[in-house]
Amino acid sequence: MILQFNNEGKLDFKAPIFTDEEYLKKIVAFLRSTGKEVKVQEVKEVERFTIDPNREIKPAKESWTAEELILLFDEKIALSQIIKKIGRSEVAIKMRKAEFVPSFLSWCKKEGHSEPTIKIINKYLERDKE
Amino acid sequence: MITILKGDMGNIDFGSPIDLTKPEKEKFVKFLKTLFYSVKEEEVSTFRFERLGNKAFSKEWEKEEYEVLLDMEKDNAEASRLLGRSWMSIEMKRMFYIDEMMAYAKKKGINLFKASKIEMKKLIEDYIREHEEELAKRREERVEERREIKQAKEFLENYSQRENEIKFLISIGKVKKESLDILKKEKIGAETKLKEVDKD
Repeated sequence: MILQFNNEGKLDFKAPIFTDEEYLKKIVAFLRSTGKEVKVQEVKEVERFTIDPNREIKPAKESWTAEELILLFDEKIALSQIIKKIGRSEVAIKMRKAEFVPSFLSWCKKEGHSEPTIKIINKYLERDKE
Repeated sequence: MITILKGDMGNIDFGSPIDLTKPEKEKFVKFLKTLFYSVKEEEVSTFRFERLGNKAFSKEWEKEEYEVLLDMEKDNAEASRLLGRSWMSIEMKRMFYIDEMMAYAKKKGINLFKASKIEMKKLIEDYIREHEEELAKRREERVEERREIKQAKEFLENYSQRENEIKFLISIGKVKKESLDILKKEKIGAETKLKEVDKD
């Protein structure tokens, strides 16, 4: 995040920032603590990517199984082979990997698991359902 | 009064630059650093005019932010919170970098599941150091891309006026007829550029 300021005591974010409700409340509380009046105004954001209304909508695939997920850690199998094997698109695989690997890895570290196995992935997926 | 704009997609912004005294500014920066991983200060002479809700914003990735992005022990929600970036922007970026880091760890003989915190930190630092030029190049490429998009938009916005000017200059014999063809070709180029951006 970049905070911009000038020599007249003005300050601004270089660009909007993404926050949750808790952080927003903290920022508002901080600014109020300086004695300033703070108003929160809701606005509709401009979407960065417009969705083509004529796009082909494919039916959602089944949830990923542990047998599929373990392939994401297999360095011996090329992406093209994974696509063929599980019948999911390249983008779908890359997106799932970008989401699953860090989440699973951090969970494994907390739980003390030192390698990905189908059994451990199933345990992780069960935890996800809870 | 300070107005904070709260967007429907999770972003926040100031309604306009805010007034803070120097000690207040220092406290505010310190406070933000307790929430976010990377907070940098930049002195400017002017501030942006557009605010949340006026346009879609994109942000360059700072070097420090890669320390979080490449940290595979932080899930996307945690990375999003620490960086003040949307979950989707983290995931899109990680679509490339998770593979990169897995391959890099293998090259360095590091088992991601067995690596200690210190080993992971060193792995990330080494990657950033080895790829510093590449990461900077990506930023430069994006800046150049944005400049080209801006130029194409401006060209199309001013096209009718420019066309009329050239038609007038042709009518009084100041420029050749071919100038109009050149302008039309430039128009096709600008339209193609914007279509490519839309596709991406």
